[in-house]
Amino acid sequence: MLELRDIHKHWNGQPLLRGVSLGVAAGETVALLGASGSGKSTLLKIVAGLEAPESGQVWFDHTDITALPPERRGFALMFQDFALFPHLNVRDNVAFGLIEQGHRRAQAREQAEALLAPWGLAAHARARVWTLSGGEQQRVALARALITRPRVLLLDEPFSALDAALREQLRAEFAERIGAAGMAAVLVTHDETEARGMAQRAWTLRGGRLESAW
Amino acid sequence: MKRARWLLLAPPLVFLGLVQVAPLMRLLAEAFAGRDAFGGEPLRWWALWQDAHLRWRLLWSFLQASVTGLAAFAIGLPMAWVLARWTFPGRGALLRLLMLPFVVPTLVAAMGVLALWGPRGVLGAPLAAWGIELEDTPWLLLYGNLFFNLCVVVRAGVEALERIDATRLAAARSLGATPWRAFWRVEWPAIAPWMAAAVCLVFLYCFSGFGLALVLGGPRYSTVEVEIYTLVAHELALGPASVLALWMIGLTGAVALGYAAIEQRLAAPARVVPVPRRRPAGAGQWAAVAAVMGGFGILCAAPLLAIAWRAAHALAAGAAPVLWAPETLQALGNTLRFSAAALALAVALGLAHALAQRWLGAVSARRGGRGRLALGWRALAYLPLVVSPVMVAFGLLLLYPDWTASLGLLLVAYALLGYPFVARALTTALDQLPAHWAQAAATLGATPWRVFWRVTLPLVQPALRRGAAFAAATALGEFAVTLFLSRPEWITLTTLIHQRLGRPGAANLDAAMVLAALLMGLALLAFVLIEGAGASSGQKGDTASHA
Repeated sequence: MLELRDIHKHWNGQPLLRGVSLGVAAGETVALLGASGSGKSTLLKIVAGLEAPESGQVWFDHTDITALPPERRGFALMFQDFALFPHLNVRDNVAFGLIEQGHRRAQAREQAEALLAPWGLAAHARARVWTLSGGEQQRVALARALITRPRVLLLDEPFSALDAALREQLRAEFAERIGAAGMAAVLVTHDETEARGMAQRAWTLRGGRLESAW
Repeated sequence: MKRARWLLLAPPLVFLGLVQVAPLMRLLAEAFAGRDAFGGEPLRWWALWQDAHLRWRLLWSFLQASVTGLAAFAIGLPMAWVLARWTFPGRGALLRLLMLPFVVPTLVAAMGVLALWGPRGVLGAPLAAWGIELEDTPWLLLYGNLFFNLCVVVRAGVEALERIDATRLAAARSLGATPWRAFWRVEWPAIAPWMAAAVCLVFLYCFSGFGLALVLGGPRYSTVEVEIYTLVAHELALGPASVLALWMIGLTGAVALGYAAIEQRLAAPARVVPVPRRRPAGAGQWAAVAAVMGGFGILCAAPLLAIAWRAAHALAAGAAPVLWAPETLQALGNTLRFSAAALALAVALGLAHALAQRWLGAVSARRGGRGRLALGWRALAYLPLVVSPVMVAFGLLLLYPDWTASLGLLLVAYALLGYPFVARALTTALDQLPAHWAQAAATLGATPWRVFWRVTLPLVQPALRRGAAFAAATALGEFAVTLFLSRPEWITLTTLIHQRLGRPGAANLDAAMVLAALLMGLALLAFVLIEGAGASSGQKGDTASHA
C-alpha cells in the first residue's frame, strides 16, 4: 500500500504542494488530474524518489521510504515522452531494469524478447528505438516498466504524445495489462476521459491541495 | 553520495588553481612589483606606452587581430550562407574540411604559408621573379590568420543559419519580402550575435597568437606574445615582459568578457523546422558556389597542399633520411608520449569538470536561484581562452622556478591547454541531455554510478571523443609552452621543426618541410582515430586555440 502523508513542496519560491495526502491500494489505479503546472508531475517524482519533499513522508507497506533513493524503491516511472534510451536497441531498453536487478545480460535479453513477442514487437527487438512509431515506442516503454515487476507503476501523461485514435486504443490495452500485473498504479493526466478509462478513483490537484474528483 | 559529488569539484579546482590562477597572480604581482625598469626608471604599468617599440607591438597586435576579424567576417558570412542554404556536390566534404585548420598545429600552418608564399614557395617564387616580395610585409601573417580563423566564422554562421525556423522565413516571404529583405530582416538579426561571438573569438586567437607571428611576422610584424617570449627567453627582462603580459591580460580579458556576454545571449537549442536546402539555380548562383569553393581552396587548403608538395619535392631531392635521423625519432617519441599523458590527464579533468557542472546546475535549479555558482564554474573552462599559452608558461616559470626543468610541469601545462576542449564539449553535451533518461534509469534500479556508466557516458561519448580529439591535436602541435619549459632532451616535433627553420641553408628548410608534413599527418591521424566518423559534427566553441 502506497501512502503520501502531508507532502509540502515549493517551486521558485511559490508553494506548489501544500499538505498532499493520498493512499493507493495494491491492484488499484488512481488518477491525478490537474491543470499544467499544478504540481502533478512533481508529486509523481516525489513518489518515485527523483525529488525530495520539503516536509511530509512517502510510505510503502508500513515503511517510511521518503529518504530511499529511486533505484531502491522498486517503483517504475513511465515518462510523458517515453525516455527510451537512444543508444540501446528495443530489446536492451526492455532488459535494462532486469540487468540492474542483477540478472545476467543473456538471461535479461531472453526475458525481454519473450515479453516483446505477445506485444507485437518481436520483429523490432534489434531495432533502434527512434525507428519505431509513437505507439510502438509507448509499448516498449510500458514493457520496460513492467518487466521488473515494480511494486508501483507511475504514469506521467503516458498518452499525451500520441494521436487521438491511438490514444484510445492504447488506453484500453494498458488498463488491461496493468490490471493483469496486479500492481498499484498512479496515473497523472489532464484528460478526464483518460482517467475514467483507466483509474478506479481520481483526485484533482488544485492550489497545491488534492480534491476528490470521483 | 553528496560527498562524492563535492569530490568531483576538487580535481579541476585544485588543478586550475595551481596551474592557471596562481601563476597568473604571480605574473600580475611581478608586473606591479616594479623589479625591473624601462631605461632605469622604476617600473610602471603604463611605461610601455613611452617605449615606441613596445607601443608598436601592442598596436600592431590589436590591428592585425581586428583586420583578421573583419576580413574573416566579410568572407565567411557569404560562404556560410551558401553552405547553409544550398546543396551542391562537395558540400558535405567542404564542411568536413572546414575542421582541418582546427587540428593543424600552428607551426605547420606557418610552414604552409611559407611553402606557398615564401621567397621559395610554390606561388612566392614566381611572384618574387616579378619583383613582388611578401616576406617582411604584414600579408603573410594576415593570410596565416585567415587560414586559421575563416573556418571559425563559417562554421558559426552555418550553425546559426541552420537554427532559423523555416516558418519564419516563409512568413516573411509571404508578407512580401524579397530574398534579400528576408535575409536582412529575419536571418541577419538571428545570426548577428553568433557572428559577433565568432569575430570576438577570432580577435582573441589572433591578438594572443604566437606561433604564426613568430615564424611569419618577421622583426616588424610579430605580436606582443612573441615580444614577451623574446624578453623572457632571450633578454631575461622579466619586468617589462610582465607589464606587457598585464596589458595583454587586460585587453584579452575585456574582449573575452564581451564574448561571454554575447554567448550568454545565444538561445538554447530549440527544435526548429529547418530551412530546406535547394540546388543553386542559374549561372549566377553556380558562380557563387564556385567562388566559395575557390575561396576555401585559396585560404584553407592551399597552405596544406603546398606543404605536401614541398615535402614531396624535398623527399625526392634526398631529404628522406631526416625521417629516421636519431633526433627525429627522439622528437617523435617525445611528442607521442607527452601527448598521450597530457590527453589522459585532460580527459580525466574535463570529465570531472563537466559532471560537476551538471551537478551544480541541478543544485541551482532546485534552489530556484540564478545559478551564479554554476555560471562561474562554466566560465572557468573558458579561462584558457583569455590566458594564452605564452602567459601560462611565463606564469609557471615565475611561480615554480625550481620546477621549470621538470617534465611534470611541462605535461601539466599541456593538459591545461587540452582540458578545456574536453570540458566544454562534454558540458555542452550534458546540457543537451534531457534529465529523463537518467531518471528513467534510476527508477529502473540503477544506482548513480550505474546511471553514469550505462546511460550518461554512452550518450555523451561522441562529445567526449570530439573534445579528446581537439585536446590530442593541441598537445601534438603544442609549441609555445614547449619553447618556454622544455629541456633539450625533451625535444618535440614542433621544437625540432623550429630548430631546423632557424638553421641556414636549403637542406634545413627541406628537412623542416618534411617534418612539418609528418606532424600534420600525425595530428590528422590522431584526430581521425579519436573522433572517427563524426568529424563534421563539431559545435560552437569547439575550436582549438592557435597559439
